[in-house]
Amino acid sequence: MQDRIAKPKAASAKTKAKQAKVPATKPVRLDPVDYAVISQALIAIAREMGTKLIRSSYSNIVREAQDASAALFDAQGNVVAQAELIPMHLGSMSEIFRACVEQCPIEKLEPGDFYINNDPYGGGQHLQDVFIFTPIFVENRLIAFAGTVAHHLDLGGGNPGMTPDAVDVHAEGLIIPPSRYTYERDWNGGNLERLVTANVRVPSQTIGDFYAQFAANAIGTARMIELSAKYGVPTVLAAMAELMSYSERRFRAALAAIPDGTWLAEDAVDDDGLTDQPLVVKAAVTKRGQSISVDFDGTCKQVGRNLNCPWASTVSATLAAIKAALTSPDIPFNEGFKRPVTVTAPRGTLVNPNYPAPVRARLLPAYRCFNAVLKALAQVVPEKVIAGGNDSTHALAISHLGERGYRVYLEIYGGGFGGGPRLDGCDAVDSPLSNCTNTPVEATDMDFEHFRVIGYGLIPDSAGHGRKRGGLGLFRRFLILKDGTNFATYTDRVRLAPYGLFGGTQGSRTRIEIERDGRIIKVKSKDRVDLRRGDVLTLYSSGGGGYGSADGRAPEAIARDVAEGYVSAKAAKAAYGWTGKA
Amino acid sequence: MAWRIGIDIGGTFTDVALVDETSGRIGVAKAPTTPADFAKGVLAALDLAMRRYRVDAADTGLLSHATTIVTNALLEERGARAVLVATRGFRDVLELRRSSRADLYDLFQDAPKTLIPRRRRFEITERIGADGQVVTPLADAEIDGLIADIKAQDAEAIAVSLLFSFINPTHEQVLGQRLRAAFPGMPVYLSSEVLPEIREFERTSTTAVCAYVGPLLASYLERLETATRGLGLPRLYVMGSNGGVFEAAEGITMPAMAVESGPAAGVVAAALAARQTDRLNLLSFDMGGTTAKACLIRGGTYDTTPEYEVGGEASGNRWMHGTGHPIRVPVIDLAEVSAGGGSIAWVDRAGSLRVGPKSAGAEPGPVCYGRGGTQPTVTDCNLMLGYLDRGSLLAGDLPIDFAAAEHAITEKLAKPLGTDSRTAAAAVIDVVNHAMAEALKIVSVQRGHDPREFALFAFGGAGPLHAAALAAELGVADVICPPIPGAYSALGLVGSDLKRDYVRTLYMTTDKADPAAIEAAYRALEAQGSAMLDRAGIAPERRRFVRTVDARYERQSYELSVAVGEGPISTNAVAAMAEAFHDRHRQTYGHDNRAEPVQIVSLRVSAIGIIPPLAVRQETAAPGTQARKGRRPVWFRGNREVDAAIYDRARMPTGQEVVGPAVIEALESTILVPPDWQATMDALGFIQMRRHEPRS
Repeated sequence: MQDRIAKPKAASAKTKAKQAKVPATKPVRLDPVDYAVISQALIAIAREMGTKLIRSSYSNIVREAQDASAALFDAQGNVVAQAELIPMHLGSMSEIFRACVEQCPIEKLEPGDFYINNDPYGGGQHLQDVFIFTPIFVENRLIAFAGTVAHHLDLGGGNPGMTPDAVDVHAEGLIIPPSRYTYERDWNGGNLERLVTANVRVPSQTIGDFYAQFAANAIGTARMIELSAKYGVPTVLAAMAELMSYSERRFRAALAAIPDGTWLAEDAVDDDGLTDQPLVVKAAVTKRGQSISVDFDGTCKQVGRNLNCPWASTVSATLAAIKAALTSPDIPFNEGFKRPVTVTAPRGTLVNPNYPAPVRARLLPAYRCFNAVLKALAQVVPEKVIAGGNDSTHALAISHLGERGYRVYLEIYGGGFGGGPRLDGCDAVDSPLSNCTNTPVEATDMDFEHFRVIGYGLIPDSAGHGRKRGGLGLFRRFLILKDGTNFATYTDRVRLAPYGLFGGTQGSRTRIEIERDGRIIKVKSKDRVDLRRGDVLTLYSSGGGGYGSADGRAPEAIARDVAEGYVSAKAAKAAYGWTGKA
Repeated sequence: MAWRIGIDIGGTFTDVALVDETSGRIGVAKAPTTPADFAKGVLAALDLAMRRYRVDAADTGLLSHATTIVTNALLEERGARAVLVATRGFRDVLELRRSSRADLYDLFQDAPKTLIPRRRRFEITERIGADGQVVTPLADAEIDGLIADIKAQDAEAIAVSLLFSFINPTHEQVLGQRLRAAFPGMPVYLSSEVLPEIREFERTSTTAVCAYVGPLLASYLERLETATRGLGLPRLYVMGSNGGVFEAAEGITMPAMAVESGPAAGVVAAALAARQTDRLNLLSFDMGGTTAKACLIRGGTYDTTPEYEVGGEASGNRWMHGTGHPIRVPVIDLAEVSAGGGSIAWVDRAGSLRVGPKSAGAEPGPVCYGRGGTQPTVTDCNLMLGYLDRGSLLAGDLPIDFAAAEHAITEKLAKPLGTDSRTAAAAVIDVVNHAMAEALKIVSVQRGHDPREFALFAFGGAGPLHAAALAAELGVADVICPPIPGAYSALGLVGSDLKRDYVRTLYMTTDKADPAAIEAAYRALEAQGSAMLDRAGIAPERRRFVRTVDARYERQSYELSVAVGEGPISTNAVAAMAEAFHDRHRQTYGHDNRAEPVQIVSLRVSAIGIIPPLAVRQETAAPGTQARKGRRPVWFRGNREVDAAIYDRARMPTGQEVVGPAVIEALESTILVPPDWQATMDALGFIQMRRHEPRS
């Protein structure tokens, strides 16, 4: 076990997101039109992989929430093009890939092989996110990889869906270390498939999602072979390299336009579920010339519960914040975008933990990395950032073991975005790093008999005030229909509310309540509770913080908020001195 | 003599196309579109057409219309003051949407404004369970208060969307009755009537779209029909997004059907040509001023898709999912890209050449039109390369400023790219062709069809100019350009059947399905269709009902639609449904699981009233007519200058062959015949192009 800690380079204390450029095998002069055509084709292939993965998957977390991603890589594992689904997955796919290469060099791969990895201490994120990479061969030459990741509903562990009191990563489920397997031999009825099947609670859904990943990789492979047949391998490889260089050039040009400097900021996760101590994430963002670096020195030590953020997740969250704030949305996200960025964090901290710290709820600290970086950047590009929002995934797992086996419902919820320089924050959307889709109430109720959804809506007065207000939080209410129902959750912003910016006020706090026999039971932010028939469980997520002073808010915007019932007349009077009529 | 008349309202012109049913002879007339009151432009074009072709209104058998009113009302936020009634606890379903945002890394991107704002959304106590049983009875005592609330809102239309009404509609029906009684004359849309299908957001959104545009569509169609009846013309039909026409009155009950009416007409016209020329497999390619539309015609017909968003935004060359209002009605499965003659070419900050999505539109239009445009467009580049006449277009009606176009291309494109103006212009054409080829691939390759097995059918004002290059890009050997390409879409209006689609969600797995229940559900849908066809006066022998089923594997959530065989549903028929589903799944996603039962989700019936088929033709010139009118240099990629023969399409007799490089000019459209291509005029006025030297 000792070597586990030191092995993966991706988790070393000073990891540069920089990677070597792709060595062109034969220098090809790339025609600008061929480039325009092929680069669009590469992005289209990644998108098609993503769409097909979601449409043919089995679990609600992939098919409805769309918690899955897809990308094309060059032969060295650099992301060339991606389907833009879940930002959290996308920043770190090449780090996860490289951990596989350390186990089995690329030269040893043969057609039909694949890499697989879900190990947080082997370059991965949390166990539920299983990454699969398929090499693409054209004329016996490995030219690229097709890769997909899906959040798997349940991969074993101590409790269905999630294990809030896990003391280490082993209690959180099955670890698939970075490795190479062969599809026909090891999956497709083979031993790896049998091993996974035996270790998960709802194989009918989980294994189906694995098949959807393999099929999406196969589609990416087929499309790349077609593209190579048409333009020739050297031209396609040159276009792949140029697509990355294009993003790099665009990003460096954007960086050059910002003044040099270092900006410090912090945000915190409420607590680790054991004590009331906030888990502070500190970021120092330094921009110099055409490069930018983020150092998380000063961040709190890793903790004993699942709020540790594996290195790949920290990198992803940081890149997502930088991409959102400093580049225009039309710059394709790929390895080239990562070249000007360096991310560092001391080992043993919340954002670069040592084995075997549990990591299931890693998105919460990842969001605080995102927030700390945005807050730091607010000091230099105030017109490009938003205030603190719900910025958490409130994960609710409601499961039941009945005659028909385990029934596991798992869904994550967002809330309000922070207000921005020009617009109010988005009301009740999923949070920026996950961007998941909700599951229709009718689909949920059709699928599960142990509860019924009895409410879903906006929470008036949940937004922070300001020149631009935050977005509203949302509520989701469940009536429990069976005794012995198991509820597990992690949430955040329960004690520390979303922050306002430039004089805007903070948004509302998140809470989960159980109404039982006329009493209200407060659920902790990280908790597990046995539910009974008749219990009413309600999540209230956070509203976003305001941006700018409330004095600057347009009277017609206040009047509209009151008329629509987003803000009560009373709150409007208190915050804005509003006395009009809706 | 009996005429059929199609009216297609475009951004710039209102086209009226006429077909003589017996001879197939076609005619066309254009008048400027009148956005303030579309009926004005329609009447002007009709008047012109009827005088020009000496049409007696009494001899008109069919009058049909493609409307943009629904799409425009949504884009311009000009819909009705609608209210929405939802199940208690679910007032905000319409606003919460599906919670994800369209653009990941854009912190400011938000969903479109809700069609029915929160102050006009109400709740009523009631609940139907997932099994269709009443969990909470409808609170009768609340209805009077609800009516008072709606009155206070000064509403113009009402939408009702309650949970699980697709399984048990009784609560919606009772409430609907009370509301209709309380608000006589006001349209009340029940989600169980509009779309009895699972997924509350999509069902509510579709119902809300109906309420939002219903009153506007109703008054528009009534006004237009009054005007056309005033000319003595027959009842007015409207083109639906599913490719069938419906009666104006029917459309008012389901306004969401009238979305994408115009693009649908083009596809129907292409399908018409497929059957007429016996080229049953076509790639339909319709390129206008701002967008290009691609659709696959297979076996002489097209597919529809059940998912669509109206009022969505474009990003780059893609329409972004999540930026519009979803409607769940069948829409012809076409791919649309923002690439047209007016698309603006530009060089981005990193030095990359881009085309669109901005368009110069009709005003100011391309630089060469001399109406104040300064940004080089695709049309300017076509002119630069010699594909369009340097002197004038539209038979001299439109003078051309070549020097201005050349200047714009040099300054805005060639200099930043470090090249010459012709190379830059050729690059623009290649980039825009690529975007359009992508659209053609989406409807062919991505659906599992090899484009090489299809002929490219090119129309729209700009389509025939780009057709050969696109065909080469896709490996397609044949191109067909119809007569009157610029107004050809309007012919689709008079060549389609009457059609309306009905759907009902019925949850059952194929291993436990009750064939009798499925049959009964289909019969109920067909009864609704029969009633619609009765109202339209369609004789029984001209009626057809097509059954399909939406199915998936039990744990999936996206359905695939598969055809259901003829005859009553039996155990065998259910097994055949499952087989067809496995096949379709493998074809679409690359894998299937035959051991697994198949989940039936929704049953669909298309009720069709068959309108006698139509064959169109345009007189060709008399044999021996001299069609060649000169020569001019044209440029192709790689800076290849060649001398091309210029032909006048109107003077081409049947059988005339044109060997590329050549340009065939017509009133409202130009055909480019590149080197290696050869074009032939057929007896019906269609020009067939073929590559005579297959690429190695």
